Amino acid sequence: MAASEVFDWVADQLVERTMLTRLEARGTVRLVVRDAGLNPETVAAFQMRIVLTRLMPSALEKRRIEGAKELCATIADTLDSFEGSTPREDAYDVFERLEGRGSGGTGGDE
Amino acid sequence: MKVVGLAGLVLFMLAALVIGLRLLWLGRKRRLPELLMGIALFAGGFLAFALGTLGKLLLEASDETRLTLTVLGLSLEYIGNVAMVLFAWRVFHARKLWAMSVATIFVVGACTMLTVEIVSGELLRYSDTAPITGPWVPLALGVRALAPAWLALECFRFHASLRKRLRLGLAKRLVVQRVALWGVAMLGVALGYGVSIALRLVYGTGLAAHPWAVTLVSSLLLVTAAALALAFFPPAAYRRRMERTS
Repeated sequence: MAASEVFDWVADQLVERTMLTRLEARGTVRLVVRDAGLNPETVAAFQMRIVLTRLMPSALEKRRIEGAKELCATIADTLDSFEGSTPREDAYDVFERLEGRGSGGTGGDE
Repeated sequence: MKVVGLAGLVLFMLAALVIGLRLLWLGRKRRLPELLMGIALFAGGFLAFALGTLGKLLLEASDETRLTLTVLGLSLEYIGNVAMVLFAWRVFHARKLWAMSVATIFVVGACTMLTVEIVSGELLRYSDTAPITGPWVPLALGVRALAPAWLALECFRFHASLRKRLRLGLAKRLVVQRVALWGVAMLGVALGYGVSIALRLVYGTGLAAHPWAVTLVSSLLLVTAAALALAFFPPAAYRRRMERTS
């Protein structure tokens, strides 16, 4: 299953900046993204930023990675380059549109 | 009892007509999910029910007229169910092989069951009160029930994950509730099929021969209509309440 570009980027950053192997890093990101109720295939930059600041630090601390909070903040800052890209359509986007007014758009109340 | 029965059916048909047409209109801009759900509601919810009811009302008509109406209504119902399954695949599991396989098997199964129902002549049992003589009607109802059942399951599963997003501020409560409402609506349809299957297995006859069952199914359809209406046309007060609690 192809993960989103943002997912791949964050996993690669973890491999680069920690002792985690590629498999461990991807597994960790996948678990945390799922804990946030998100889909690794469609997760967008603004969603990943929340995941990195709210959930990822404790997940990394459990894996005995020091300075997890700072590391996550640093990786979150690198996500700016993904802001312009259009994420894959998620089921949420479809249900957001499924109303009489025919509204569009993505995302939540962030 | 009779009023509840009629109210449920009429309101369901009305909701399916209005929402189905609106979705077809929204789907014209190459938006496949809207198009599929529009087909499901308009063809499977409104047209199929309208033709099916007409077939039942024309008991005195010739077998040929009833057969034509029933074949047409049943075909539209199958089209609606196929659209539902394609919606579930496209929206919840677009890139997953297992979901594509399930959708393909369903389409093949639906075509097979429609053919078997027509060839066996058992489809006339939908428009009269005679008992069935073979397994095809309950089997076909079972196949058709899988579509709303799968969609309901996916909606509830997705709703559970959206509640996690909600806690992180990554989802709007209105949309989260909308997913649950679609799940309730589809569950109502699936349970309606369940009642019909049980009747055919126990008595051999359909809804028309059991007024209590008509009331039960109509109540389920009333729930479906209400859930669809609330999901699709949320009143301003409801919308405000959802926004306040986000």
